Amino acid sequence: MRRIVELTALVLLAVQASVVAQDYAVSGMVLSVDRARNTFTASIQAIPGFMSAMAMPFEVRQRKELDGLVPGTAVTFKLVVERNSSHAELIRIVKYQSVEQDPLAASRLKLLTRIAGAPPPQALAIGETVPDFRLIDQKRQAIALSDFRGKVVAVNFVYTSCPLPNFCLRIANNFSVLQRRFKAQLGRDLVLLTVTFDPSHDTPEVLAEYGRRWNADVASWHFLTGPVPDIQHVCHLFGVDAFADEGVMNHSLHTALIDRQGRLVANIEGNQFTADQLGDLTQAVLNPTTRRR
Amino acid sequence: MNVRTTTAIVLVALGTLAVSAIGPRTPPLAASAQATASSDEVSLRVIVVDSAEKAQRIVARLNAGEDFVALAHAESIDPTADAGGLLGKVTRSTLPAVLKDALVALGPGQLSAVVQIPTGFAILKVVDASDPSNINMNADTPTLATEASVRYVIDVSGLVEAEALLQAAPKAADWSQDLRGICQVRRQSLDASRRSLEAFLSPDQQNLRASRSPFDVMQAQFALAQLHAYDGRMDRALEHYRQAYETARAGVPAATLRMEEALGVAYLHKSGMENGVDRAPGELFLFRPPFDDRSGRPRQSFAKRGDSEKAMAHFLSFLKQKPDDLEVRWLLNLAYMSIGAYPDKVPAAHLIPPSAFASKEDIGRFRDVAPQAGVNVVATAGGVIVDDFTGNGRFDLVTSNFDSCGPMHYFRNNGDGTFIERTSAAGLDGQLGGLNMLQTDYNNDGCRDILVLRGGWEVPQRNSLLRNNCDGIFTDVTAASGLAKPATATQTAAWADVNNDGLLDLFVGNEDRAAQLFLNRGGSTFEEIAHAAGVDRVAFSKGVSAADYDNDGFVDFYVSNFKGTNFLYRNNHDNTFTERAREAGVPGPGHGFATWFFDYDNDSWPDLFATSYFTSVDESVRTYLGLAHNAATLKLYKNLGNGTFRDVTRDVGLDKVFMPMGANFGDVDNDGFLDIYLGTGNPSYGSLLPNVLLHNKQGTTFVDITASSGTGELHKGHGVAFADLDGDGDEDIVAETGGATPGDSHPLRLFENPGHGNDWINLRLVGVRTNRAAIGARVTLTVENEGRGRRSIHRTVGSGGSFGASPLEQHVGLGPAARIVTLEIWWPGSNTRQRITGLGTNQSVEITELMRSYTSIERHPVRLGGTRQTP
Repeated sequence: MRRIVELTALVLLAVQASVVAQDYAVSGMVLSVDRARNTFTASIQAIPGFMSAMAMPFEVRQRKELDGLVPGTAVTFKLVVERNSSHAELIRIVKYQSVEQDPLAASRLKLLTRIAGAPPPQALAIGETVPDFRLIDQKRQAIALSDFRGKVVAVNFVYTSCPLPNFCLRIANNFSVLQRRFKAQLGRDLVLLTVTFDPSHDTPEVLAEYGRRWNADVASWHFLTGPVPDIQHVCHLFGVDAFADEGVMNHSLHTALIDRQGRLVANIEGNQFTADQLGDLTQAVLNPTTRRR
Repeated sequence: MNVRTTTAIVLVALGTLAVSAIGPRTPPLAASAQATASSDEVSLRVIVVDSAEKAQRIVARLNAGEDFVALAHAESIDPTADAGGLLGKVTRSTLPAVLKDALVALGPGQLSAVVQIPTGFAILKVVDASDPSNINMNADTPTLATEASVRYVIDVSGLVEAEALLQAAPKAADWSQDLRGICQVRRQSLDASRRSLEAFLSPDQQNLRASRSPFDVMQAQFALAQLHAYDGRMDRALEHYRQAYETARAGVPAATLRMEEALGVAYLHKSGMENGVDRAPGELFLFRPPFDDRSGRPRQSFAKRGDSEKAMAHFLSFLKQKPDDLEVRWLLNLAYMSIGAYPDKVPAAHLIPPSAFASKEDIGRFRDVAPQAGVNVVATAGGVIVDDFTGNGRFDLVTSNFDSCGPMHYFRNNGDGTFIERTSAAGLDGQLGGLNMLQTDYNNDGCRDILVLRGGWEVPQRNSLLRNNCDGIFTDVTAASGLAKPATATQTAAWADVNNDGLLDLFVGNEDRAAQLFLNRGGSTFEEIAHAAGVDRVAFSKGVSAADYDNDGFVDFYVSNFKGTNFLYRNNHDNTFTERAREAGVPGPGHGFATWFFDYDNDSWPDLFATSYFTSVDESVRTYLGLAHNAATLKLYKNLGNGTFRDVTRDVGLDKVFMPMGANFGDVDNDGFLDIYLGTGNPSYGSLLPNVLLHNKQGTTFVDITASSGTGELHKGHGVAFADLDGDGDEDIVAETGGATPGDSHPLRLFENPGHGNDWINLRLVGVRTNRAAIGARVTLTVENEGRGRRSIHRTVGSGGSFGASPLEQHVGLGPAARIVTLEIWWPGSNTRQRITGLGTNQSVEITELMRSYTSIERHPVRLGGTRQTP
């Protein structure tokens, strides 16, 4: 189990030997932002020769460096490590702009249909309460989001006949990793919802079969389908676009986290994060650190 | 710029292009050969982690003696982690190429190099096959998902854009019943969005655009390029593909390579149009590697070379950065071919040698005589029917048009080797759209009717049942017959008499919707009984075929599905069916498209052929180069005569990937064994692969004779029919050749069979208690060939495969110096057997159910198109 490591001990340990300040290029996923204390927590990729991948807080010198950061944001920044302190600067938000065929086509079709006059469906903003929705899971039981009030809910979107690497396969695998990492909390504190955006094909039976491929625990990892308009509604809430193309779908990728109060905490577009980072984010939502001013 | 992030993005960006092995590379050809040589089964454990660095650390720990099972438990992100990474026993040939290569020469206890797979970085361990924990896996674990490594063809065509716009367009209620209305909605949605994009990209909108990211501007430019390409305005399209490319270079570097390839594809497409391959291709763009040109004439090549050369420049630039990309390498070779510079001028590093395409057999060169014969229709994708629609004993020819605004074409046979278009006179003007067609005689009046299937790959649209009034004029009776509603998206159906009442019923396979089974209620109306019949499974069905596979006297159905497993519906003799594809061993390859029953080995049991439609040039090039596949291959299932089938795909050499769409079978050399012709491609203008002719050698193997036969049309292969159009005793091949967009329209090909001297007979069967078209009647010819013993040849009356319709009249090849000992016909409507002896060869006869005698059909050989060119 990964833990959020306190900054000072570890970083300072690492720079004991060095006398002058050192810069490191870091990339990671924002887990939480504490503007009052000028810090953010991130699950960062390994810094070769310095530290391995981990979740930890970073201080900034200027509060405005935190502008635009929300949980789930992919960032790069410079970590400046001095003898007695360290801080992050030059924080850049990495927008998800995949140039792979599938998401590229999905974002192009989204742009095209918007320019051609289709009304843009409004996706929920971070912090908004997710309106209740009802779908059917792989056991054909009705599932409402409100059933899970008081628990953290992770939501992602796939279609089972997705043929491309890096997409649905990777997105589903992320939840299979969450399932193992949070075995103890699953069902009690954490629920996984995987929604299909190809409901005509992905019947509960097809989803059950798909779930078995991932060793999904049917009690806590629900694969959801339903009538096309209901699915479209849920997709729009999370900004998921899916366009049929000769039997397959051009689609965007979204992974969202909803907190115990039913608010949208994070909505990550794309696939450029690791399962461990998603796990760290889930951990942060499960156990938000309450800090006193 | 953070180096790590850049690397990560590039890795992800290239993920679809190639899943690469990390570590020393074995040359792919050698790897493939070794993999084939070693044992096919292997027991594996796997650890998957999310970075290459982590994977290297795991390797180090394993090498230091740590336990694989414990490490898998602790570190693996694969679903097998809890099982200590156990994948179980797998068949090497079902693994993705990258895993196959990684396992080459590994023995029990050995570790593979680190392999990148879609979910991360994998280390495989070969475990002792006798491990008690060993279980047989069905290769369905996500780690082993072979198709996850397929490199899909680049999308340059505009179809995806057009379909998204059609789906988003406002539509009137019941619009799907109005064929002209569908055309209007299509055109309006395209025109309006093109204008919107032009406004968005116009110079006076600079401010609006400035607020957009380079990514969005690139996407808008690309979208506008696609809309122009859709209609074939390649100059305008190229202007915008180029701007998309420039925008990428300036602001979206990761997309530059993709834009570079798109530019190359667009130039190659333009080059074809500039050189007339979309109107009068002649032998241009027939796949004819030069090794095979025995004529001594200079090979035809494009007269205007500029655009091909520009395409080459872009492909070369692409290959400089990514030399291993098979798709672009293939396209580069094609571009060289187009200007007559293949293979000499192709840089050695990128050359796909002519030997990769050499036919191992030669039954003679076919010649395209469509223009001379007067069937030079230029159209988008569509179906084709060859049959006698006028009852005069001559085969007419009908095509349909995928384009919502594209008409059908009806050509009447003049009897002198030429055809005349009679679409308007036949009352078929308003029959727009339709990807496939079938003939039938649903009302048993002896005149062939037409069913047009619409909505396939797109949105639900009504089909058309066109009644032949027996005077060469058709009446649309769809609504009156009960077939119009509900409209579905379909391109496949089969006519068959499910209850042997002498009336043809109709099974319609739909896309993402339950199939329909229309029971014929007396020749003018139908009743839909799919639910009661137990055939209403929801699937994305692309092919339906009918045959009595268990020889119990009742017709069964096979349904080929693009998603999920196929269905085999066994007839319970009471208008209900039982699905038993898995029990019978015919689940299909996945991504199913065209399919059919045929008795490929003449053992009297209908076998099953099922295609798999992976839209990957890369995978097809792998077939030509003999490399391992990530996509599923074609499937041939041999009927064992006990209700089950055996997968004989590899035994007969059909373990190949060709991107087949239209497909059918016939006997091109009259040896009595049925051969296969596959139309290949997908909507992308980059999907330029030769159609494929596979010669069935005595029911043992299928040999690719594409190059030697000259039938390798490179454009998109849709409906295919085999028919002896010139009455000279051998089957010619009709290949509908248009692509999915108006900008990819191409002329039909009519490949004239060069002849081969074997004997034949044509059988026109007329049902009395059986449906009059005799669909489902079984024919057994026992013949003696000079110097050999007796053998039997088996046929079932039908139009052949599921995408393209050959005449219902059965042309049967008999082999050399043949004598027909007996002809036996089993008639399903009367359950009677008719035996005819003393039948002479090389003639056409009409045989009526329950009658003792038969009549000859007067038919004289003609020259298609009149004067034949001297070869």
